[in-house]
Amino acid sequence: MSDADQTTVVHAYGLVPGGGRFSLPERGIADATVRTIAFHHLEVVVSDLPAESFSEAAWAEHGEDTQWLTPVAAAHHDVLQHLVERGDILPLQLPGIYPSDEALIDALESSRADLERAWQTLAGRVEWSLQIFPTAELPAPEKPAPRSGREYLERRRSQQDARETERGRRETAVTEAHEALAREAAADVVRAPLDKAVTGREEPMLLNSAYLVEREQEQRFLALAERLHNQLVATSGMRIEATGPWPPYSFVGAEGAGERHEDEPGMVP
Amino acid sequence: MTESQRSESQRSPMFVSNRPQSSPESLADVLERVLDKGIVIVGDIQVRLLDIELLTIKVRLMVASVDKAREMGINWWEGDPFVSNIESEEKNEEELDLRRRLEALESRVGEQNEIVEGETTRERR
Repeated sequence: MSDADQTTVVHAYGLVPGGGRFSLPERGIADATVRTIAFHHLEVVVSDLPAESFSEAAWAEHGEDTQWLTPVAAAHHDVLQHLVERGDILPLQLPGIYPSDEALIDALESSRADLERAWQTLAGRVEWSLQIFPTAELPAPEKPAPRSGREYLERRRSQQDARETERGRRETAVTEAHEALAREAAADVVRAPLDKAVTGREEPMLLNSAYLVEREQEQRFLALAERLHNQLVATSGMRIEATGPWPPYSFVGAEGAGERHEDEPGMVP
Repeated sequence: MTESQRSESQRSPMFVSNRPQSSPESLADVLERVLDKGIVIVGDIQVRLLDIELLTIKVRLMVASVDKAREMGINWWEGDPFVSNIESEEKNEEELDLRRRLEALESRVGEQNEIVEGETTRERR
């Protein structure tokens, strides 16, 4: 394989249970075939990619270029999504490039204890994402012009009080919804809400969270999310959108995914 | 999710539960999870997601670390008419933290003054 070593690099998607119990997707990043390498009781799902386009140098060059990165990230996700719909998966983050199978195995071996711990946490569980959006704006300023500066200030003050009260009510409702779902989950993560420019919506995201849910509890979790959604719509002018099951990306921390990923997911920023 | 389903879900606030796909709707969610960095906005992009379709996304995306975003002073949920609660909570915490630090400093300065005063008294004796 020494020839191949010079022209290809190994891209790791994630780890699955050993024994080839479920089917791999046919194609991965850059249309490459997908194969596995044994790693103790697990298997690493990988593709051989042209070194020319995917070496560490290429990542350094393009790693922050969305046009280059997006199809790579999408293909990486598609492989993992295929796998999570068929069984347990420990997803690895990008970039996950190694010069050879041996180098990849060495890297995994060096963090084996952490990987085992992560595997124990993730086995039998999937990630559900939850986002909360408002369905109505906060109270808007009243129209008629104030008759005096004093009246203007008083009115402004009462409007601000009303806004603060409403804001407080929403804050409480969002927090309570999150806490109720977190109680049903093995773990949870709250991320910074995504910007409107990214979501392409007029309304801002109020909560962007993820939950690690037992596969057997999925229906129960979703039923609760739907109940909370109906409650929020009726009483607080907000709605819930859930996405899943995701590969449990948000719950593979530094320990799970190798030395590169120092930050444990958590409250950001 | 098809176009018709999407517009329907926007009309009435139904509970939506989607399968994650690397489609434009959930692209940001995918990037956020798959990359070991945060995502931040800037500049229009065109993305070839599947070989068959070229999707122009009116999304402005740039990949950068969360720290870098903070350096750039991007605080996207500030000053929004809908208001995100999370931010106000953070501000309160920041204020509390500053107050705590100020109090700690003040008490330390107070202690030092006492020591100085004590020394002066002793000297006077």
